[in-house]
Amino acid sequence: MLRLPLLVLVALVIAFGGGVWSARLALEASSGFGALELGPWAAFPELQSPGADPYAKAHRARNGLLLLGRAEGLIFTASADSEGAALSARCAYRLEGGTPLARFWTLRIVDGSGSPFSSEPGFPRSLSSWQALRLPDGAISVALTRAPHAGNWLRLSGDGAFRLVFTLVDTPTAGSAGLAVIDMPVIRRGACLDA
Amino acid sequence: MRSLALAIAVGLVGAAALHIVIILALPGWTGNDAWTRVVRLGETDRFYALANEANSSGLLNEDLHINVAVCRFDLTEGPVRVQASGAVPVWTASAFDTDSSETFSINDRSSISEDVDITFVTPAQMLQLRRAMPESLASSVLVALVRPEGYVVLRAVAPLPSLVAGARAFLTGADCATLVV
Repeated sequence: MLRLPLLVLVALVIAFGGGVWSARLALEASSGFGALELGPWAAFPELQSPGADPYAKAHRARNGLLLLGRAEGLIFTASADSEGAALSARCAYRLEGGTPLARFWTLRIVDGSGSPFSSEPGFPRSLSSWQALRLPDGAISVALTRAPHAGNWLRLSGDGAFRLVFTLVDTPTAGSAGLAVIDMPVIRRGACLDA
Repeated sequence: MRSLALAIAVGLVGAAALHIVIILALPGWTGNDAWTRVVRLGETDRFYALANEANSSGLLNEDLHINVAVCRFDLTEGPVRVQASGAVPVWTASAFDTDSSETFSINDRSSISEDVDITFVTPAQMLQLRRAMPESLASSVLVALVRPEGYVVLRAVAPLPSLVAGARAFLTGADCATLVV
């Protein structure tokens, strides 16, 4: 007797639950199609353009950020190390390698939801191309640890997930012409705190 | 058993349809997109320099090295001219429409002079200006926008703490004004 209403209910629950869940998942997992992926780093050069795909448009409407125009630059983010393991503030990391061609770049840490990493004043939480110390071949090497470190250092605190944001200002990378040959620093994981 | 499978199949088809509807309809419904936030900042024709800390407007300088100011404009009253000058290592600017899609972007290397001087016009105003170009607009970058409403974002880079004051002054001194033609 109750079979039919029950089946209708099953269909409705799957339709609404599945639809909402999958839409949320799609918007949280990525900023749309057309990502430029270089190892763990991903950028979305079309995110702000009128020709962006519906996922990118939904994503940017939901986040409400003032995006960088094409002549302004490009933002790469990484939420995993070069091995593919998620970045965690419980571990120490080292970034090593060349930086893409740009007039200016910054490297900063944000928390898992994308808001700036909370850090006590006085501790470095972002690094710029003017301040970074370079190796003789022009590459950079940045330590991401809890304790202070000689050389380029960004401080990790807390024990949650975090993301790295690499902002390139005025870069030919945004035109994506020579992207295949552009290298981003690799992210190597060091020692982790015990759970 | 067969009817349960059918119910699940119908549910999955419905879920796919709802997924598509949500993705397509979301940009009009978030009430939290960049355009809405810019409108909430205040009136048109003036630059609002953003704070470094999270605040109720939802807009902030996410990158401490890059200071941002934003100005909303409406071209129906006349062309809007954006000007700024000062010693900053790098500045960039871009214009967006009400969908927060980029309509124009520029940086100090691609501009005519070192100072910011951009005039946004509608295609009709562009024709008018072509006929009789005012002397004062000779060195301004003229940009024709199809949609009269939008906002322009000006960014000043401050690589070192000592340069932050200069970048701030560059942004607070920036001018965004409707021209009388």
